[in-house]
Amino acid sequence: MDEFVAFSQNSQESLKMATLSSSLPINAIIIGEKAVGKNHLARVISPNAKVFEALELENLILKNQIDLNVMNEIIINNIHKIDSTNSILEKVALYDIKIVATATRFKQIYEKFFEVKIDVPPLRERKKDVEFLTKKYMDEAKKLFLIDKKFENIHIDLSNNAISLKKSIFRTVLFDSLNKEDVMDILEDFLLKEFEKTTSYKELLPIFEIPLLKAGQKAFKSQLQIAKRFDINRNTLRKKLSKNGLDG
Amino acid sequence: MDKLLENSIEYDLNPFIVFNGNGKVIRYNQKAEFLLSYTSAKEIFDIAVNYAPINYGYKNSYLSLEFNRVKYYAIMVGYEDDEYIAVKLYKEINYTTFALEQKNISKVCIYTLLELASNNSLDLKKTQLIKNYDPSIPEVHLNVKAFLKFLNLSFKEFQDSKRLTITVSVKVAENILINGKRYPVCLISFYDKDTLVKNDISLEKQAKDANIALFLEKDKISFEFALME
Repeated sequence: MDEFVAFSQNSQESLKMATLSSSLPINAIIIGEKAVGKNHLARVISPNAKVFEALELENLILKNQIDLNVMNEIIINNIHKIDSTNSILEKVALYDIKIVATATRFKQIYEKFFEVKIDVPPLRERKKDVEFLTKKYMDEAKKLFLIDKKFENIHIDLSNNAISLKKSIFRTVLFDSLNKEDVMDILEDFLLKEFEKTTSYKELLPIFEIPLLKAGQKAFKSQLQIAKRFDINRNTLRKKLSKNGLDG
Repeated sequence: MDKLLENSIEYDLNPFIVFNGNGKVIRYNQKAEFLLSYTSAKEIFDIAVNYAPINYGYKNSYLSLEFNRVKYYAIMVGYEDDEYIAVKLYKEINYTTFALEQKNISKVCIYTLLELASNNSLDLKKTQLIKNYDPSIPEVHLNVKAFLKFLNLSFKEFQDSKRLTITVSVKVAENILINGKRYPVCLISFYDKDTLVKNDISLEKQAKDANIALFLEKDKISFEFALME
C-alpha cells in the first residue's frame, strides 16, 4: 500500500480519527495486525515526522546517540517490540515531541502516553478495501509480467493482510504466464537447491507427483476417471494418492 | 419601583427562594432555579427554618454550605407572618481555581476532541450518541492533552451505555476568572439514566490537570471550563 486505503466504513473511521489527530498537539497510538496500513495512517497524522523502528530508537536513546532536542514529531513503528516502553516514552515526552506510534497489540501503559488510540481493522473485515487492493495489485502484476488477460475466480489470501494478498495475486498472474520450459527451468533451479538437503530419488519424486495428482483430482474428480486419463492402474493410483497424503 | 425591586431579586447572582409554611416553593429567582435543579427544596427549607429569627424579621447568619460544588458563606432568612418565609444564600467567590501553563495550551475545536474521545473510549456500534451541541461555541484555548485524557476517562464511565446524551452549552450569565480576566463558561454533560457513574479519583485528578470543574451525579458527569478564545 502506498497510502492508507479507506473505502470500507471501518477503515474510513480510522482515517477520520487520524485526520482529526493530525492538527492537534497530541500523541496517538495506532493498533492493528501486520500489513493493514498502520504506517500510512501514521503518515496521515504526522507527514513530516522522522520514522524510527522502536528497537532502533530504544538503542539510540540508551546509547545517547540521538538528539531529541531537534525533533518536533516522531513516528515509532512496532512499539510493542520494546520492553522499556515507559522509560523510552518518558524520555521522549520530556522534549515535548509529538509521538505517533504503531503496535500490533495494545498495552495498558500506552494510556499514560497516548491521548488517542486508533484501531485499524484487518483486511478480512474490509471488503471494499480488499476489492480495491486486488484490482491495484492485479494491474501491477499484469504490467510487470506484460499480460493483458482477465483473471476470474482468483484465490486471494488475507491471512497476512496486504502482504499475503499481494503475494497471492502476483502468484496467480505469474503462474498463468509460465510455459512448459519456464516450469521445467524453475524445477531445475529448485532441485539444484534441494540437492543440498537430499539427493534421494524417492524423496524428490513427490515434487513431481503431488502437483500431477492434485491437478488430476481437480480436473477429473473421481479416482476411476483419473486412472483412466493417466492411463495407469487404479490400484497404483490409489497407492500413490495414499503415499502422498491425498486420499483424504 | 416594584418592578425594579422584583428584577433586582430576579437577576441577583445569589439564589433567593420564598417558601410557604409547608415548605412549598412559592417564588424563586434564576440562580435559585439552578440551585433547586440539583438540591431538594426541602433541604433548603429546613436550613431556612433552622436559621430563621426567633421573632418576625430578618436575620443574616454566617455559615458554610456547599451544593454541587458551589460554596455559600452566608444566608439571610426572613418572615413577616406565619404564611411565608424567604431565604437568600450568598455565594463564595473563588479566584484561585485556574492557573494555566501557557506552554501546553493550544487553540482547538471542542467538538473535535469530543469526537476523538468518544471513538477512543466507546464502541459506537453499541452506544448511540445523542448530541445536543451548541454550534456557536468557538475554538478555544485548552491544555489539549490533559483535556483529551479527561474526556477519555469520562466517556469510559459510559462504556456499557446504550444511549448517551452529550450536551454542550455556554452558561448564561456566569464567568470564570483567570488571571483577573473573565471568560464565559462552557458546560458539557454526559448523561445516561441507565448508567451508574463511579466516583473515580483518577477522573477528579485529571479534571484538575485539565482546569476543569467536575460535577458527578449518579447517572451524569458534568464539567465546566473557561471558554478562552
